[in-house]
Amino acid sequence: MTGRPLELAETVFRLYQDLLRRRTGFVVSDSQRVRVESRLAAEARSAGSFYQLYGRLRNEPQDSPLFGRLLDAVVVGETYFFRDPASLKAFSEEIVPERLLAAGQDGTLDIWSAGCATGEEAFSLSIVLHEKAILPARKVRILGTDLSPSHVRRARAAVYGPQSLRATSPERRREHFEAAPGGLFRLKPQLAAPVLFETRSILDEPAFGTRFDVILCRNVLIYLDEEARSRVVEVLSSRLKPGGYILLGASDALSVASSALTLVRLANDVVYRR
Amino acid sequence: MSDDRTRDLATRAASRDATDRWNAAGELARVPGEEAESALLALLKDEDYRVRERAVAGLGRRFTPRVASACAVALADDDDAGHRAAGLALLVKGGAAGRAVLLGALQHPSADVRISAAAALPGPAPGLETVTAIEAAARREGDPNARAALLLALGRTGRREAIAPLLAALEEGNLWLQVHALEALGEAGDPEIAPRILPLLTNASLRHGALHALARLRSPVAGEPLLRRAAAGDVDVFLLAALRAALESASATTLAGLRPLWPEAGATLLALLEDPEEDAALRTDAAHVLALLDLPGASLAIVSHGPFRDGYAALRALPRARREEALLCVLQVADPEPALELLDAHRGGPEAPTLLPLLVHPSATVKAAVLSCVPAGLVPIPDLIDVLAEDDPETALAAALALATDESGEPLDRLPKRRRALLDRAGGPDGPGRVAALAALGLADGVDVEAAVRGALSSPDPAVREAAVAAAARGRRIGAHEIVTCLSDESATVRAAALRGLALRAERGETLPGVTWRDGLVFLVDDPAAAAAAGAAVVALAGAERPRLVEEMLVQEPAVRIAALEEIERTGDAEAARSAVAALGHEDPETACAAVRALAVADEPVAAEALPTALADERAEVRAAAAETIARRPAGDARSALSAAVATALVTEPDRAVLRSLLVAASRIADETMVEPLTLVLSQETVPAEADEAAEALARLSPEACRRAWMHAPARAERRWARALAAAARAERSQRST
Repeated sequence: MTGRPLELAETVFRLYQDLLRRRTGFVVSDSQRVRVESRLAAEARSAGSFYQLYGRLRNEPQDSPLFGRLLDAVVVGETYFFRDPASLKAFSEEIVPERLLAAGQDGTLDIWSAGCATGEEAFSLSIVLHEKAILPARKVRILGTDLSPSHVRRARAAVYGPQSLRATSPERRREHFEAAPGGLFRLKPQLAAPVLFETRSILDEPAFGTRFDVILCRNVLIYLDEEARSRVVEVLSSRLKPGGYILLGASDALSVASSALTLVRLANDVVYRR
Repeated sequence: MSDDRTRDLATRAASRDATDRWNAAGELARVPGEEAESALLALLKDEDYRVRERAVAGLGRRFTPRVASACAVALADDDDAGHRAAGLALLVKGGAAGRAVLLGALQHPSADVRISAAAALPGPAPGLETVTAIEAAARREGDPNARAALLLALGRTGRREAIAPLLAALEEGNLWLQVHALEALGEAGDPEIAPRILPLLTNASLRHGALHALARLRSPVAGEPLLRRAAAGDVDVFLLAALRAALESASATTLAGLRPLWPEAGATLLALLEDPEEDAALRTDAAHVLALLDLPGASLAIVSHGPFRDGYAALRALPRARREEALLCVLQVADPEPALELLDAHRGGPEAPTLLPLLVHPSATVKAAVLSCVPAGLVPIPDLIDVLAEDDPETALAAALALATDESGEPLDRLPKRRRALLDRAGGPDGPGRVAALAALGLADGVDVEAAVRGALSSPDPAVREAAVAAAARGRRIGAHEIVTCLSDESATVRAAALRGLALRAERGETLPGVTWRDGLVFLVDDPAAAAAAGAAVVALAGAERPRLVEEMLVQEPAVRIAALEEIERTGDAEAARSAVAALGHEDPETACAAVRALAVADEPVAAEALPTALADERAEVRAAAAETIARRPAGDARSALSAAVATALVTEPDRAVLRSLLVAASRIADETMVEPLTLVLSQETVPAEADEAAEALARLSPEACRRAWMHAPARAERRWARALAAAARAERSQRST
């Protein structure tokens, strides 16, 4: 705060880029330098300089609050409710009915929104499942995970601004949201209830653990380096129940070309199936 | 280097294992003599591209006539594209000698070879004779593809002399050549030729090429005709890109005069913004044009319909008078990105204070950015206390640091209200606010601060204890033995803070009774954070034994050895810096960089020998560290050796980030040696801001040399030198008047 703010030199920024790529597989673009400089200004001042802050981060575990601040600074969470209508239609009209049959009457439908940002996608799934009366009639668990602790905090709060609801019809706004202070919208509690959020990197996911009927991992692979992409695709495949589906963003599709997954053309979308 | 060693490397360079050959290439690069050179030349034909790249890097530093001749052979190798590419890459690095070979290759019977040579021309610092040679080759060239490549090479020279033959090619009537001539004119970058290109907009076949060239020329003259075309309905992605470039280069007065020429601009551009299915580049340029023309509702439209391809960067294009309106608009949305764009745009600038209203934004990220952006003392103390009380991990530290300073720059101990607020929070409940208050109180002294820190040392929250240890170490009242007690804390982060604290005390030259470097040894195998801090503490506490201990730290784990090397500069120990030289070629780039940085405090002869070597390292990060270290060193006897090394590196440096660091070093050195290489940098289409700063620094210190450079420089460099000379003259006048 005294005089000129500390500067993050391009060469020091590269150290941050390398650190993030090594730890998380996340590729931070050069254009994010100013963003990191602005978001970590206080931490850098407290450490002495951006280089000294890097020295601290280098030895910090990934789940430490300081490393979390770095992740918050670089992970962009640009998303909104009902972002991809065709995909949601494929999910609710084609994939879910089939997976419910596979699960049996008492079975649980497990869904994972990997790289969920501030939670709009995971909550959109909850909304469509309520609209189809699948919820609360059937047991459904939706997990949202993201690298950024700040994104996960916002997702847990389930309060959104008009930007997040730009593709949400007025009817849906009225039915599923209630007014919150400051012109914001809060998702109704019964819609938020089936969704659980956790701060995790997809790369940290064990190959064995809960298996999912549907995994959504949209516009995440494009931010990862090649090695991390292959690992993620491998982990996602291993975490699918037999016959489960993976829904990727259009630009992510090439990454799975060589994996064990099968490309399936549904009426509303193109997805991958184990 | 013994002959046996060279022979061994040559044998490894012929190994069947590519990694062996790659390693051998790296080591051969550092070996002088013809035998090593021959082995490297053979590797130009290697089947693995990484090995070829290393051979090129090694040979680039010794471009002998023999290397030049081997490149000529490689260039003519019709059967092996990898060999040809390696020869070309090496010729580009070969300066004038490399260029001579490339120009000779323009007469090769194979059109492929001629095209390859043209694609690599003109090389660094092309003079008039290069333009003449390429122009002559273009005139006699019969192959249309080779001729097109030569036209592009002419454009890349950036010289005014290249423009006439390019304009002549434009009038030949051959569409293929016209398209390439337009591309080359855009590359040449002389905005004065924009009027010659504008008439081509009516030619449907050349319209795209002409608009693309205009977008690169950035001439304000193009603004009016392009706006008239837009008003006539000729709006597409190419036109908007050219229009945006023209408007960006126009003055505020010109912009005001242009606005009425396209009465429908608001409606047309808004329609593009409103359609999310529209081309992303088109929407982005539309947003910028909307802002540049200062059309009603521009701010709201950008905020409502963004983000665009560059986020909300269009907000930066709004005129200054619209700042308040933009602030109100970004406050209307919960999305933090538009607000952050405004904050990023004005960080450190004179308009940063106007962004204070953003403190009421609902996003904690925005609040933290405001607190780090606006000048000290501007945020009212009660507001800062409120933010600190929110205990938000995103805002707490920024608020506490803002509380610790005011506009007078007085130390915190002389700011009683601020000090009291921080003390209150430091003595309050655990949480991010307490951690932040303790961090800020490291700047204060007094029994009350001591009491607050002591209280925090016994907190159950390790984050609070860590902050307390750091604050204790920065102050002087709490004894070193108490910090040593914290070394047995159960939390590794607290142990690390205690070790850093001991290092800090030693750096300040304090005597620490009963504490020696041996106290740090046991932590070298601790958790990574504590181990790294221990490496630094051992070096800081080592006293006369420091050089030996630095050498011992070099065999430790990476975190330890890097921290130990980084500690050398903080101790200012020149002898220890000499020990770091051994790690300059370390295979781990971070270790090598830390060793380079230690040279900031090395003796002159050590620096004069080691830093130029580091500037020629094949790893970009090591070269960058060397450039930054040169910039940090005080002027001394080593200056001439370092100056020559920086001048050479400015011409050959392929990495843009490293180039920026070199330009900072050039600004600090600012002697006449820098003028010629800087002219080369200034003749590029886009140059980093550091280049203009270096030019201005040079223009102040060596105005005559800079004037000479200005008179003979290529078009882009000529304009930039003119600006630098004018700025230097203004600065001198202002200095005289005061």
